[in-house]
Order: sequence, then C-alpha cells, then structure tokens
Amino acid sequence: MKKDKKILGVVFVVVLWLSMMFGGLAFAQEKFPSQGFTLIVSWTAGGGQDMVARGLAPILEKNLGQNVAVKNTPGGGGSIGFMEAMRAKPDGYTIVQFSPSISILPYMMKTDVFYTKYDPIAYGGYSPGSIMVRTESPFKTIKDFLDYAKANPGKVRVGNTGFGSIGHMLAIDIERAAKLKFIHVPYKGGAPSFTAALGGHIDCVAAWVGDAYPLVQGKKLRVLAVTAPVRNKFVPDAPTFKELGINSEVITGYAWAAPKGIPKDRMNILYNAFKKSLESAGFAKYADDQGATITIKNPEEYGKFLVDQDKFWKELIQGAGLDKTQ
Amino acid sequence: MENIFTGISTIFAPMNIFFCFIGVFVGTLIGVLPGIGPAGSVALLLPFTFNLPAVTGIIMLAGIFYGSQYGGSTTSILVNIPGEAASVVTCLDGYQMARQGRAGKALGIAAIGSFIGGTFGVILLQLMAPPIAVFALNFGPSEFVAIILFSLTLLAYLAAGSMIKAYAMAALGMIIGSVGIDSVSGLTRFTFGIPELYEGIGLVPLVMGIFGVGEILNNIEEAYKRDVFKAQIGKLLPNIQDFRDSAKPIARGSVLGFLVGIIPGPGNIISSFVSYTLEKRFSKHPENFGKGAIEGVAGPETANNAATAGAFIPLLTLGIPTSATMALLLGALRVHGVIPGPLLITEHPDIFWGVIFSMYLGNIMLLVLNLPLIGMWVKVLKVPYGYLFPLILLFCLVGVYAGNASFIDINIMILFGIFGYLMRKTGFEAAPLIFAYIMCPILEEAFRQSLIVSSGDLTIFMKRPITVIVLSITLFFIVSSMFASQKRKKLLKKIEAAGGLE
Repeated sequence: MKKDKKILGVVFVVVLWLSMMFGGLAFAQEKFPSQGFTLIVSWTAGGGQDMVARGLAPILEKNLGQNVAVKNTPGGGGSIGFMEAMRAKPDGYTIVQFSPSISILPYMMKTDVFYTKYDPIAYGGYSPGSIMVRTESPFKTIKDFLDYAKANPGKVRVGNTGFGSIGHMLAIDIERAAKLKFIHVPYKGGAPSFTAALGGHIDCVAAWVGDAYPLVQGKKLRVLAVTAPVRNKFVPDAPTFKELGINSEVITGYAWAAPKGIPKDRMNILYNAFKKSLESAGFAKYADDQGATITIKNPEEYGKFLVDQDKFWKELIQGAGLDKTQ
Repeated sequence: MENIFTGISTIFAPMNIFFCFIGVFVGTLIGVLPGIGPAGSVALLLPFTFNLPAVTGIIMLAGIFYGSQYGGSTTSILVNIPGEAASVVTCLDGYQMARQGRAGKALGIAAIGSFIGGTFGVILLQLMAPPIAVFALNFGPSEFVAIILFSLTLLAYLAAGSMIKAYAMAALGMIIGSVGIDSVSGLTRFTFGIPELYEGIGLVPLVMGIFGVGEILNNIEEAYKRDVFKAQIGKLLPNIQDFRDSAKPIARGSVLGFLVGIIPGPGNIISSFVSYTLEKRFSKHPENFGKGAIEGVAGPETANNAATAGAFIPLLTLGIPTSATMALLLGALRVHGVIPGPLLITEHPDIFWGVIFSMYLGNIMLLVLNLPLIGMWVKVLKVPYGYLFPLILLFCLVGVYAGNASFIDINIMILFGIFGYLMRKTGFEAAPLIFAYIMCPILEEAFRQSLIVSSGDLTIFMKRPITVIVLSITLFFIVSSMFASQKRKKLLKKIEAAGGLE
C-alpha cells in the first residue's frame, strides 16, 4: 500500500515535469503573444516611472491580448532591473522600462548595463525638469536666480533627488550650459528635497514639474524655468531654458526595450501595441495627470536617440568629474 | 461643523464603508504575514482603484496602510517574528509575555493601544493638519542631526542584558547600515561589486533573518522546552491592572508617535523604538523590560499607529509622500485628477474629510476585527512547532522575495538568520543592532547635508533654535546618566566595604 503511494508520487512528479518541459516547447511554436508579459520597472512602486507603467499596463494588456504584469525591481539606481532584463530570454515576453538612467548609469557606477545590450521597442514621452523655489524666495524670476548665481559662484544651494539622479544631472547640465557653480545638496528622492525647499533649508530644488505639481498648484513652490523643448502646460508661465539662450534640455523620458535578439516580427507586434496604447485616449488623460508629454519614437528612431544620449551623458558626466567607473 | 458633516456623509455611503472594511481587512492580513508590507499590496490593488470613485479608492488604500500596523504585532508576540518592521520592538516584551502564558493580554493591549494611538492621530490630523505641516517644515538637516543624536542616547535602554554587548551590536548595526552607495559622493561601501547591494541591505531581509530565521533555528533546537508555554495560554484579555500599567505608555506613545510620523522617513518604525526606550527610562521597574513588561508592548504599538496618522499630514496638506505607500496613495489620487496638497481641503473637501473620517471608522473596524481574532491567534501556540516552523519559514521566504523580487534578499535573510541564531547562543541582542542600522544612515545623511548647506561651518548646529534645544536635552541626558552611574559605583563600593551583599 505504502509502496503504491510512493510510485504514484513519482509518476505524478514525472508527469508534472514532462508537461512543464513540453509546455514550454509548445509555447515556443505557438504564435506571438501566447503568454503573459512581464514589464520590469527598475524603481520602487509609487514613483513617477512606476506610475507611468501602471497606467500603461492595463491598456497594453488590451492591445496585446495578454496579461501584462508590472514587476518592481528597485536597487542600484535602476541597474538591478536593467540587468534582470538584460539576462532574460529574448522571446519578447520580458519588457523593461527605460529612463535616461540607462544612459547615465554606465558612467556613474561599475555595471554591465549598457544600452547596446537591448533592443529598443519604443520611446513614449517625457516629463520636463525644472528649477523651483519656495514662494517666499527672493528669486521671483529665472533672471533673478541666474544673476544671483552668476554673481555668487559656489553659493547657491541646489537640492536634488539623490546623487546621480536625473535631478542632479539636470542641475549639473544647467551649470555647464550657463557657466555657473552650484552647491549640490542630495536628498533621498523628491519628497525630502521638496520639504527642504519649502522649509528654506536650500535655495532651490532641481526636479520634475510633475512630481512637485501639488505644491506648484498650491502656490507653495514657484517654477522658475523648465528644461524642455517647449513650455509645459502645467506651468505655462515658466519659460524654457532654451528661450533664455541656455542650451539645457535634460528631461526624464519614458521608454521601453527588451533583451537583445527579439525576432523582427515580434518586435513589430510589440511596437504596434505600444504605439496604439500610448496614443489611446485613456493613456493621454493619465499622462496628462502625471505631467508627461507624449511623443512616440519607433524602434529605429529610439535606437538613434540612445546613441546620441550615450554621447551626451558621457561628456556631461566626465566633464563634471563625476565618472566613478575609472 | 460643515467639514464634519461632509466627512460623515462621505464615509457613511455604503460603498465607502464596504471598501474601508476591505482595506483594513487586507491590511490586517498583510500585517500578520511576515515580510509582506503595505507598499506591495497597495501597488497590487492600485489599478483596481482606477475604476472606483477617487474617495472610495483612497479610503481602501489608506485602510491597508494603517490596518497593516495593527496586524504587525501578532506574529511578534506569538512567534517572536515581526510581521511589520514597525513591530520589531514588540518582540522584546510581547514574546516574553506569550512565553509566560500572557499572549492574549499582549495581543489585547496591542490592539487597544493601536486603536487609541490611531484614533488620537486622526483627531490631531483633523484638528490641525495644516499648521502641523507648516511647523514640520522647520526641520532641516541640522534639526534631524539633533533629534537622531538624542534618540541614540536612548540606545542603552534597548538592551536587557550586557551593555557592552549591546554597544557592540549597535556598532555592527551602524556598519550594516552603511552598506551601499554613499548618498552624497556616490562611492560604494562594502558592496563587494555586487550591484544588488548598491541600495544597501534591506530592512525586511535583515529583520526577517535575525528575528524570523534565527528564532526558528533556535526553536528547533529547543523544541521540547516549548511544551511549557504551550500548556498555559492564560486569560484572553488584559485586566484592570494591565490597563493601569499601560495607560501612561499609551498616552505617551500617542503623542510621540504622531510627532515622529510627521517627519519624512520611516516614522512608524522609529517611533516604536523611541517609545520603547522612553518607557523603559521612565519606568519604576526598568528591570522588568525584556522579561514581559506590558508597557513595552503598549507604548510602541500605540506609537506606530499614531505615526501612521501623522504620515498622512504631509500627503494631504502638501502633496508630499513620506514613504513608498504614501507615494502610491498620491498616485491613486492623481489618476483621478485630484491633486493632494494645499488646495485639497478647499477643492475636494469630500476627499480630505472623507479620508479622515474613514480612518475613525477604520480604526473601530480594526478593533472589532482584531479583538475576537485574539482567541484564534492564541490557538496558534497550540500547534506543535514541528508543523508551525515550516509554515513560518515559508511565509518569511515568500515575504522577503515579494518585497523586491530579489534572490539576494533571500540569501541575506538566511545569512542573518544564522547570525541571529549565533547571537541568541552568545547572549547578544538584536534590538540595538536594528536601531543603529535604521538611525545611523539618517544621521550621516543629515550631518553631511548640514555641512553642505553651511559650506562646512559647524556652527550651523548652534544657530538654529530647535537644534540647540534638542542638543541641550541630549547633553543633559548624557551628563545625568554619567552621574547616575557614578552614584551607583559609589554605592557598590560602600556595599563592598561593608562586607558585600549577604
């Protein structure tokens, strides 16, 4: 009796194992997509990038006809999630969300992550960066700020959202473009840096307009200028740095890629699904609420963009003496 | 008056009551499950709220957050494994109470303390959220330095045994806390080139390892000894004497928790530690702490719930999220086009007051939900450990993995599990380690920020009123305890001279 049970158990395990093996094979032969997708978000739940992913996932599900599970793998400034995607099977079922971090990280830390190790799927849009001050600040306009910063090099305390964060990079790029010298004060994320700016512990904060919008709308923070090609509809009164003749356009992008080696037909299916989802009315409203502007790039365009980005970030980071990989 | 009416009419819509209940119920569950925190569950349920009215969705998600703080103490008390990071200190005395057959009392006072702390927090939130938020802005980096230095002087009270061992553990906690990328200069420390360590060693795997796995390893060895406290489970609810002992800790915990909750950072965790140390310092019988003192459960459990109410203030009045969970709540509101912040009260009074009043209702639901559950939880102690520990281990593994979907976290947990086992064998305590691990990185960051904003001028710590006051209190604490120990030494000498104790 006991022996029977044991044999039964062994048979059960073997059948399970075989069915899993052949199940996998069967999937490989079926048409794409025939199983659920994993969308890797390399940052914690609740952040700007995560909110975009969570807003997009349900729409993407409809257009792909399969489940899309958002997986947060925070850590290493985003490198953990990027790495996981890099090592995943290039079958199209693992998608990773990219921010400019994919171009910044290789020059900020020792990591295997590099943009050439992925197949770009689509670029979806961006949120502009900005320089913000509290309402009580003597800097009423960006001109006040720039004049003061020019007259007092190494005096203006610019808070950012963390060492090596895009907020930090944004401030460094303004330093480069406007030939200024700031004191950079790193905080852990947007919340503590906004709190510090509100309390007057720093002179201004370099961060995304979208993240700080509650405070801007509530007239607690004032946006002096935005780093985008065009003015942002949230803060139409704030000029772009470009208008002021300062060539600084650091923006945080939302884009998607997959591990290198995705078959061409699958890539087309993925791109079309992304394009359709990004253009949908549902996502447009969602992106609006997050302060993001939608501009879609196809795989080739986004690939070229990544090449330019690599060059830009390499020069900026090495120029500022921040390269930690040497 | 009108506000109260808005709030009450919002919360008494049947759908809002229903989703409030769902929220606190899910919250209690994830609170009980070790490792799984509110952030993950809120993230999972977030897309679901897109189809609900804004106020209903936020009521549910908020319920998960404060509900999880109720459940967190359950496993701390029953099996010495904190269900939430904020319930670490509850292990110290809660588990000892369970060993003495007072598990029901510990669970009861934790639920009641949680209720009082949570409700007190909501009352303050309702009455003076905007002015508190403005006051909290005065806390810059130098104020943080002062406050953390002050709380570090309380570290000694976390130890029940040897002082030297406690300090050794605190030093080790400091080192563990410094693993990762330095937030100011971007250099890596103690990462051994492992990218998974760049963000540091996570609190959840650390706590689950030292408390959870360490406890299991220890218990397997001592399995036969557990029969002793399996036999007697004791009275279910706290009696009059227990309430008398807990009244002051609950009162202090409410105020303290709320204050700490406003400050950005893991306020609920810090407040529970600070509450425990304060209770021990003010207690007439500090020697009972660590041996099943009900004050050591009542204070911290009250404080962490009051802190969760405090954490809503920056979100609702400024739109600033102080934690990942709060960021998700913010996201949920913004999906509906509602911008939490200075204008929330005037533009969306139904949401502002609806959330606040749902928290009163939610706290009552949690109390009603948790008190009857005590009887059931206590029965867990009757389950033979041979059946119980594989389950606990499974929950620890799943919980730790669920946090960041990282296998490294599981390895860290197991490694610290073995370490935790060795600590138990050698009489080292975990609480000072965890406390230093949490506080020191914040201290370092704040200290360096202070010096960056002052361009290296140390007088920044003498110029700002709050900093000066807190630093003076800290100094007073250190000096007074030095005198106290000198007095004791003299006393000991006298006793020795008189021929020693008989």
